Amino acid sequence: MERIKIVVTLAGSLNKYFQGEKVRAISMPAKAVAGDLLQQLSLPRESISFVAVNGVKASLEQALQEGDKVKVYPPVSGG
Amino acid sequence: MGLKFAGDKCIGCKLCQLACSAAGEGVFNPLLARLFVSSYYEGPELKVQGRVCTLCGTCVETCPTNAITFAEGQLSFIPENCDVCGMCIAVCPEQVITPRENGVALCNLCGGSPWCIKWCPHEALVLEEVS
Amino acid sequence: MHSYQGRVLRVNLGENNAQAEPLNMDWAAQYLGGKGLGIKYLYEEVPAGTDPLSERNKLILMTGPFTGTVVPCSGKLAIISRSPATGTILDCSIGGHFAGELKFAGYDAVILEGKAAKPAYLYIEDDEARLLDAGELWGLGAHRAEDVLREKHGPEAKALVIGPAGENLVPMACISSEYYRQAGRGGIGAVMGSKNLKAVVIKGAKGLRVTNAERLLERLQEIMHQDTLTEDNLWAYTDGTPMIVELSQTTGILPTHNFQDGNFPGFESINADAIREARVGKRACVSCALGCGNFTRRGASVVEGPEYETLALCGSNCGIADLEAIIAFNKACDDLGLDTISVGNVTALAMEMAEKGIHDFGLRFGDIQSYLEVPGKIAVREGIGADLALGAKGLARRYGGEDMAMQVKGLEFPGYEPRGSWSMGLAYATSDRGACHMRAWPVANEAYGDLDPFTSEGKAQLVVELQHYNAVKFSTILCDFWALSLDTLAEILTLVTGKTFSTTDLEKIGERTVNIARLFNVREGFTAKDDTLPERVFKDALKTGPTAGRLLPRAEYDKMLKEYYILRGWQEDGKPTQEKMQELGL
Repeated sequence: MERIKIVVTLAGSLNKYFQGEKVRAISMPAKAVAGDLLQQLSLPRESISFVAVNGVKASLEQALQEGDKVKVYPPVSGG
Repeated sequence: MGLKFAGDKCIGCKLCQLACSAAGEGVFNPLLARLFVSSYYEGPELKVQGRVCTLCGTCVETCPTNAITFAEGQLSFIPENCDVCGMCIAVCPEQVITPRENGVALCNLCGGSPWCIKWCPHEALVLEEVS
Repeated sequence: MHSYQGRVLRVNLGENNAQAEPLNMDWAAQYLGGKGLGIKYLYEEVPAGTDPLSERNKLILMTGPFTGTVVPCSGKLAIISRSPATGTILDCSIGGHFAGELKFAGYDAVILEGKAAKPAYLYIEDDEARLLDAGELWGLGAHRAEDVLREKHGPEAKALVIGPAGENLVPMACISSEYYRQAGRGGIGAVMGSKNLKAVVIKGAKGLRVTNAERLLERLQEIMHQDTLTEDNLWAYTDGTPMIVELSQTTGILPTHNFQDGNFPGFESINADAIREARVGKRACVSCALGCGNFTRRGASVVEGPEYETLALCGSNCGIADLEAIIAFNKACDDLGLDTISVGNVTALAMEMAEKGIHDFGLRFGDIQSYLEVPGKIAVREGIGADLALGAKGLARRYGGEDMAMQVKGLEFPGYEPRGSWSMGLAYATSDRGACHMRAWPVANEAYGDLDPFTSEGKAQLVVELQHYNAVKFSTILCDFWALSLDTLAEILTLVTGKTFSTTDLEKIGERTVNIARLFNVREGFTAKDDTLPERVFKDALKTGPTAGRLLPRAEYDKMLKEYYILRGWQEDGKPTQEKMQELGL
């Protein structure tokens, strides 16, 4: 099956899901969407605010492309 | 096992001192705690200080009336033996023995499970082996 | 109810008289403390039409039942007055260690009345309260003034101080504590300055008695580990508010060039990563398990911060992507006693005025040198500072450009672009003190969450609920960075006070607080027509980034506001109905 490589950054406190690392290259099936990535990283939906793909907030249904830069943000409260 | 303070992890919240005074005497009052931490700005610097009982034993050696004892890894204060001379307060190198009516307050490690450690949110206070 | 000291210190500055009196416990049962109880006191004691800078206005320092305890994130103090910037009710909250010390000195609150005959500061040590000469402190920056007070009264003394901006009655002057904590908004520092009061210094040795210490420590410690130090809240420790820069950038709501856009190409110079690189320490308020404070250093500049609001208003909104410059600007504002939100906002307005040919203040988007001179000029009202000290509303009224003065009721917008998060527009317009992000923060549900930011559907309900939630939280007092449920809050309040509170009780207290704040504003002549936003939001589309082409259509805004009034039980003119007031016991 064809696969794509994406670059994933986990912001702030989420980097524990990468054992303290901030950025990782991740291999995903070619037709993966943003939500699949969360599942692959065992990141619960309630532990994140949202996912940004190439610097823009994306829905979890958004299809991922080869070379996409994905960043996942933790929930926040009060600015 | 004794208390160990790691200044680089302390955020200065004083939850340790508040928990200590509440557990020891039913009042939230940092001045009545058996340990002291402080984090403050001075000019262009952020200063962090912490003083905890290191179980050095100076108070036990100094007390002329055997009102402070050390047994099974913990200090105990025996009010009946205390003459309120204040020498333990004066010699404590960490200044964590404080006066009370008819005696003093000192750290007894809460009988082995210190509240200050349970309340420290970022592991700036830990228990470790002391010689 | 436990966990109150049951005492208020009332100080008449003109008569040099300080007296303790009982706290009104009936009011405490209805409003808890902090925001709610402070507003109730002010509503009852300061008559309609009182000039905010006259000696008839009062300044109330109010704690809550959680203050001084081990309840996590309970370190804040509420300061309440009538705002010189807006004329509305004004409650600010300030972190640091002052609030706990006030409680330990044996008081729930201090009410400051009148005006000192000459510059003075109030010194409180348990039962002793004295007005002392501040002649040598007057004119000093807030940081130096605090140093002098600590040298004089000992390192354990905590202080609230004003800088030159407060002395000069600048309507964006704040009150500071421990250098970097501020009661920022609405010119609360100018009220203090108008009373000739440079500082309030406090030392408390009494402490706060608890009835069931073991149980309290046991249960609250579980709650801290299971509910506070969790993924929902630890962003505050790992990064703090700078985390929000990218949340706003990627959703197109990062204020840019005086809210002409929501997309700032230089955001990577001011994001959470940049702050982490500059960070040299972490610091918390008293009783806070999270510890959001980032002490940062770049070149010769140090500050605790910059917080998100400063990065947005004094960074992207002014076209400044140089972190060292923002740190220096932030530090200058803190020392002069100025609110970075309002200063950043009005500076950006002046920059746009030059760009549009309305008036040239010598300021340009992205020009660091002229930008760095702004705080010093505003604080002493010299040169362009005399104009900028008018605030965005006053500046535009004087020179033109009212459509682009980003303010509500005279309070400048904080760091969220409402065209990319429509509910935030409603939150700004209906906040009790003008454009404020702390009365409700619906961006978390909308721009940063799952709700569609570009619909009015369901937004009024969202804002109403969040306003109740924040009002009750700020009355207990808890910091907004702990995202706890109302169920947990009810459990803690019951545990601490010994009186049973349900979630419904808390919602009712929140609603009562919102309504008494509204009644205060209604009494001062505010009506539905004041619950609006600058024309730019309705007319001019954002230009680039994820929100390019977006505006908040006026019809959609009107729909949200109408629905909001209906949900609130308010009339079309924005006044609470008799039925609603009766229901809430007002």
